[in-house]
Amino acid sequence: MNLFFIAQVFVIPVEQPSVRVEDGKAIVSWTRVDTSVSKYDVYRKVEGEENIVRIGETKDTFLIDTTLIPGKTYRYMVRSFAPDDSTFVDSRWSQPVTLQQKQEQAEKRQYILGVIARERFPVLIFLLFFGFLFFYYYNQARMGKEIFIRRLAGLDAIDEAVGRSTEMGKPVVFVHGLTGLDDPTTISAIAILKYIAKKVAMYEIDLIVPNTDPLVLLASKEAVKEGMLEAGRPDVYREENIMFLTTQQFGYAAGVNGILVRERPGATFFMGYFYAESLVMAETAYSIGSISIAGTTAITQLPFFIAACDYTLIGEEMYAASAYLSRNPVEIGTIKSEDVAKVVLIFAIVVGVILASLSQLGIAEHLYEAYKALWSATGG
Amino acid sequence: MQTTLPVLLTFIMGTFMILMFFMPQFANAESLATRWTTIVWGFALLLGIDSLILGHLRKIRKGGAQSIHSWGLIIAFFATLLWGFFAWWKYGNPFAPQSSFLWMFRYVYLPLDATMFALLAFFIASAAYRAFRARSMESTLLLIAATIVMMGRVPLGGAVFVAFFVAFMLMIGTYMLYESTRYTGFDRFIRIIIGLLFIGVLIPLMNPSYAKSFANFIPGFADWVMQVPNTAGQRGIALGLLLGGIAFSLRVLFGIERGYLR
Amino acid sequence: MNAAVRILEQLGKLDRRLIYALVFLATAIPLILNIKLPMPVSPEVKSAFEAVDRLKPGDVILISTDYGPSSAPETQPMLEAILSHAFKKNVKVLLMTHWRFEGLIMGIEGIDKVAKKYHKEYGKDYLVLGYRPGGTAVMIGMAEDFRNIFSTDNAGKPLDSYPIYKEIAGDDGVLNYKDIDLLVGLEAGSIGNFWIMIVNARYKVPMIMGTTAVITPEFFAFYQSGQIEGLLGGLKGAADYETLLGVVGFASKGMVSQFSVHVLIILLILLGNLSDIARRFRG
Repeated sequence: MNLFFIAQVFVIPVEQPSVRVEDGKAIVSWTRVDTSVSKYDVYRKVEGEENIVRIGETKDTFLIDTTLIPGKTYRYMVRSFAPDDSTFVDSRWSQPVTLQQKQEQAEKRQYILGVIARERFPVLIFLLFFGFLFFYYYNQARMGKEIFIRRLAGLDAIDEAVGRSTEMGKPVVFVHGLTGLDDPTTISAIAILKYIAKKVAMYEIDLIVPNTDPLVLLASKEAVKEGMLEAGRPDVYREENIMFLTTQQFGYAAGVNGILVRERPGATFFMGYFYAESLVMAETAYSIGSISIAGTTAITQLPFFIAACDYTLIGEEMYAASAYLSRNPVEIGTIKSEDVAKVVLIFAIVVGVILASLSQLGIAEHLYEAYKALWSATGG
Repeated sequence: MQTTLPVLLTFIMGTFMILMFFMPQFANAESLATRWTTIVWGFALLLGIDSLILGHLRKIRKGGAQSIHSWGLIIAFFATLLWGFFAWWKYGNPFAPQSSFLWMFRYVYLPLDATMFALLAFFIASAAYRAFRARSMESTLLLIAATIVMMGRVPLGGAVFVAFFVAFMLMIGTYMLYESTRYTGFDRFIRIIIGLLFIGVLIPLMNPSYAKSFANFIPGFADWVMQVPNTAGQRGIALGLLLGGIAFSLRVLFGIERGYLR
Repeated sequence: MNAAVRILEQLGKLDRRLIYALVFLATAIPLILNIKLPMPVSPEVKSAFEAVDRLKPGDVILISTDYGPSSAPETQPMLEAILSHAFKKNVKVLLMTHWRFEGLIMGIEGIDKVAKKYHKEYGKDYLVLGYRPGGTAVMIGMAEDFRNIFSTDNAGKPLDSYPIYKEIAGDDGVLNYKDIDLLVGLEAGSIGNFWIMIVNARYKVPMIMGTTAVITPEFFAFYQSGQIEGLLGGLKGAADYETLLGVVGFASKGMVSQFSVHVLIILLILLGNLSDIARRFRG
């Protein structure tokens, strides 16, 4: 009896690997039969040719071959290695696969119900689910159910900032972000602008609105005019105070800084989607002693605004702003649907994390084995 | 009528664009709609330029010390415009490699653009100096995390961080010990303990090899701060943003929210 | 004692112009002195380097320079380092931009400089596709055939009139994402997100990104999920790449400036906090 024989490690081979072709690549996958395997090598041969090529190694149970040539037919084989790499065993060769010519490839898009692109179907499901929540809470609010929304300090401070500006006899400046009307953030900013215009009209001070997008310029003019009309003071509206500067990012920042330094506003608002110019403008507002209130959905610029401004509307607060300012219970009610969707998403994330962890640890496979064993034991 | 029509239009176009997202096979219709936007935007730009030029002409007419800026703008605007047309006529394309307009763009406009951006460095320093004050538990944590990341991403950062760390802990420790003199009984005792703890943490660092491994640990830890807690926070905000955005869009689409309209 | 406390308290109210002067000196002096400090390489840069290093001679990378001169100090060293690496390995390079003429100028400036150093020939080893407006529409249009979008290169000649085109377009004569072995996005704005969400997600083009420090945190999520193979974040990312490549470029020198400015900022923060404590001492 050879003592070394005991030390020899055996590996159970992988069964026949399965192959499918997607986007011009072959995805070779197989089932892990022996958990002690240290790595898998994947080999390929072209139908009608002699050579066998090793295309790569992996610790996973799949490998993607990106080097297919259209029109050729391939077979794949998986070699499993023992923990110390001393031994290996080969699987059977896979069924042959062929990469179609490119024109045929492009046609291969899958649809659900004939029209909806398959890869976007999950988005549709989520949208429908969220839409359901949305209208559920919309109806609840319409039927008079009161829905609580926490105070948003940044929005409550608007009145205070405009009031202080009036006491000092200084104008108010409202700075838009860089995105256009196709960004919901900008729409929300315009609603806030309208609210500010209403307040400003009551106190009869100047409201200066520099713009970087010509369409936003037009919308801003309308919003300010309308806000002042609602306040009963259309005479306060001054068209020349709502101006276009430039579409260039830093040209705009320079222009805004110029206005801030020359006009020395008592209150400055930064509302919209900003990029690197955020702090350049916000620090200038601070240096001239203006109260500044910012609101942005640009995650990367939030730290700058929080550091430099007195109040900051963070992300979704910006979207909630116009509903909040309207004090309309029905609009506020729909915000509740966000919270419920958030809870569902958190739940989904937690379940996903647990499942991913189980599979990483290999526990899921054991559970599956146990389940199969149980199933066969019960004669099912 | 004044609100019904815009809300109806918003609803129709919004729903159309959403449908197009799920039916990419009709991508042509989608790109047609985006092309419309481009055309409208182009004409609106004329209105924007009109607003810019008229506004400054008005300021020039009003006179005063500030009108010099308006003169500068008007002259620069038309000089650039004419130069661009000239280069177009002469080289066929204002941005052709040998064009004099390109030269202007490269050596006048681009440095100005870069200068504005470079101001950021100065403003970051002054904003950090002003805002990063350890006034609460949260702001202290933020301060420490910021220091670790700033030091972890530069050469020799670890070593400098250790120096800062020692200074910081000594500072807090001494402050706590000083504070304790104002209190009596248990309040004093707890402050002395905290102060001694802060200073006591530094004792192992007196061993150079411990200090060195602490310094080596910083860059990796900075990466971890960026990749794990920072990414987690960003994802949280991003998810909230996404839901807020959908809810807001639905409110606009169905005309529930008309704050931006009349 | 009281005098010391008062001085400390004053340190919290430094004039911002003094701070600006200090920042200027801390940036400029190390650049003039021309020194390099050693530092460990971040793992995400290492995997970006490896993604380029894996390429074989004749493979193709597509570089998109989506930044202007304002962010060039961070991204231009990345462009030059990656180009040097690619040219050293005899990899073919295509260059394009979504960032108007600013991006084009930065790209051409970088590629001309590096190509000259490695004696690479325009049209044979590299090609500048140029700028086309349209953003995501450009990305989608390129999926079928680059010629749909770039009927000519930046010099105005048809793409297929160059020898490099015939070489990389392969047997079918069509150049699209399937011929691209690696896409390098050098980003200063949100275009990188679209490269990932559209071109990587739909057409499975392997990608690495080089981003300005401000937007880097956003891209870590994509790096972790494996959507991009590597990430060069800010000047540090560029300097790490230079270290891996074994050259001392602008980024490595700039890191010393960054070091001194970071130290300065932390010192300023400490001063501010000391003055806060001093005020509480008195109050």
